[in-house]
Amino acid sequence: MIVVAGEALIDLIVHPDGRLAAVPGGGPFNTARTIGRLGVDVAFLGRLSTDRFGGILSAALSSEGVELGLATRTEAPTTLAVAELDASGVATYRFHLAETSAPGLGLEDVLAALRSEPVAVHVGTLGLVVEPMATALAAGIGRADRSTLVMVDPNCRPRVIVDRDAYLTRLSGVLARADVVKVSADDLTYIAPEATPIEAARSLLADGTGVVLLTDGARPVTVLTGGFVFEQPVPDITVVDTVGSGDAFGGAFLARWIERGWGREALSDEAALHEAVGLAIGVAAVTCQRPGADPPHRAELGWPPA
Amino acid sequence: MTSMIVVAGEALIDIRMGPDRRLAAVRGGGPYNTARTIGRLGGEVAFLGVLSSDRFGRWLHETLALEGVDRSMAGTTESPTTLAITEVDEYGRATYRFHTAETSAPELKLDDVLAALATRPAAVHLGTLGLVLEPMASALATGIAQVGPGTLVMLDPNSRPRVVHDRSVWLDRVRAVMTRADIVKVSIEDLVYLSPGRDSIEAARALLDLGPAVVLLTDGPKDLRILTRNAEFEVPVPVVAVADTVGAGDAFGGGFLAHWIERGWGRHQLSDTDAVRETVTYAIAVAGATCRRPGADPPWRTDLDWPRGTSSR
Repeated sequence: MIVVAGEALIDLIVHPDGRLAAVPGGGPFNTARTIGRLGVDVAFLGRLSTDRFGGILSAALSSEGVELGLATRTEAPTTLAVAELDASGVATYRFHLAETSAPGLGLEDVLAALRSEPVAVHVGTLGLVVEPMATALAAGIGRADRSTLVMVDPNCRPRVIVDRDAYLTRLSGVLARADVVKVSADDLTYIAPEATPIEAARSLLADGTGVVLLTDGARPVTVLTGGFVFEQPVPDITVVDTVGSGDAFGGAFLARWIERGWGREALSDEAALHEAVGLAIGVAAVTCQRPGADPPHRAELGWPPA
Repeated sequence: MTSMIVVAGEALIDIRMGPDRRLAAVRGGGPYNTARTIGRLGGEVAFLGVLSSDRFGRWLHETLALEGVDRSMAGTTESPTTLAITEVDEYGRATYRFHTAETSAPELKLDDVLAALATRPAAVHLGTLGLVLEPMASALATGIAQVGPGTLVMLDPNSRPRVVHDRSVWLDRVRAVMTRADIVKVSIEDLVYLSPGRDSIEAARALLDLGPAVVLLTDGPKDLRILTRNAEFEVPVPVVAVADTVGAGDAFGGGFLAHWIERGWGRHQLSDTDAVRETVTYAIAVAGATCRRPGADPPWRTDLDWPRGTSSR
């Protein structure tokens, strides 16, 4: 079982003419759905509202085979990201976080989930930003079983981070236990503005991370470990939008890794990394070729049945 | 003598979700509706509240401008617009949840309230979430206590039990405002929350002991009951084809104040039963027109079948 921890929320899209649309989202939510669609055992660890938006999120997870047994419920309304689209389609976000569903994930919930000794845990995005969830997840990861593979996708959200220093301190604590870190060049610019992305990625390795997967949009993915570095090309595709593509990349990497029965030790295996990163790039590419966070199902990829 | 009416409290956006999951954004907030009502009826009115710089906030702001509501007292914030999420089921029943924390409406500050009241408006109207959400609620309660003697104060508690975290704190605040209020408009539902287990007429009478000269008790389609220290009477509510009752209470309050101030009446005329009766009759007509149309869509002056001479300046 892979546990994906963090926020599920509703993107409330406000079009220039005032029309509204509600789109399920949240990086961890998208990652969990990606793994579910790829047919690998996955559970979502996060807090969901009992309101109708919460019902939409729950249904969107369970219909993809994502287990909700670790998810907690609240009467508080669903966390909202209000996205105002301008005439050219550019979105400006404002978040409704205080006294909403997602941030209220508590330490007890996290520890209970990790007690089941999942093969892997994936954390990131607002899961490492909004309190009390962020502190609960950081503390929980610190106590994760040695056998559990920990993957982190910081997926930094500068607009939501009130205290950058506190965030970076918390993040570095989690990264010290992380086996795999997926970071975008944008993340590294936020985390370490004075360094080049490659320098910043190398310093993550020095702090304890096993593997860094550095994505940079359409450019090749750079894979860094203590022993070797290689680049893996990204196919030339027609991008519809990039919504959820990073989440799909991380989810697909982890799904493949666990499906193959690989664990923490295999992370020094260059061929294994090649295979999993290659498949993750393929899954992210499909996601980019369709609107919204709509990762492919296993059958679409021609993968053999799980 | 100014004839400016200041309406203080929240403006928000109600995100309504139907059983088919379709979404619609609706402008709302009791005080916002009240201000719009007065504006549409041609009264001089200013909205005292905080609006977001986001698209919803700009929409709320532009609507006030179109309806002749003065925005010079309205503050602006980068915080997102306060939201009410309304889920409507297949039977038309609505469930509300509010996004109030770290949003626009609660951010009204004491300095803004005091500056607005220093203009010595003819009347101030307050209530609903304006007396619930902090720091706005404390600012308004404190400000009202310091308002000049020439200003008529009207209170519409319009209680929202779902949003009131601490009932006793809210109750103390509402009671404190009542000591300066001249007119209190309450619904039967308000009285159930204010004075549970008590006969509503008795509860309404008890409010007079706190200070107001007039209590206007609404009870849906039933006759409106007016209570003063020396008289109690009813004004009939005509039968109308009700589309929905959204904003009807806000329109009633707005209609009352618009007419009262337009007539040039102040605090002292509140003992004049005929003046109160005339104004309540007008307010009932305004509320009735609002009930006939879906949503909080109060009538414009020209929509009302009201003898022109009666309410000319």
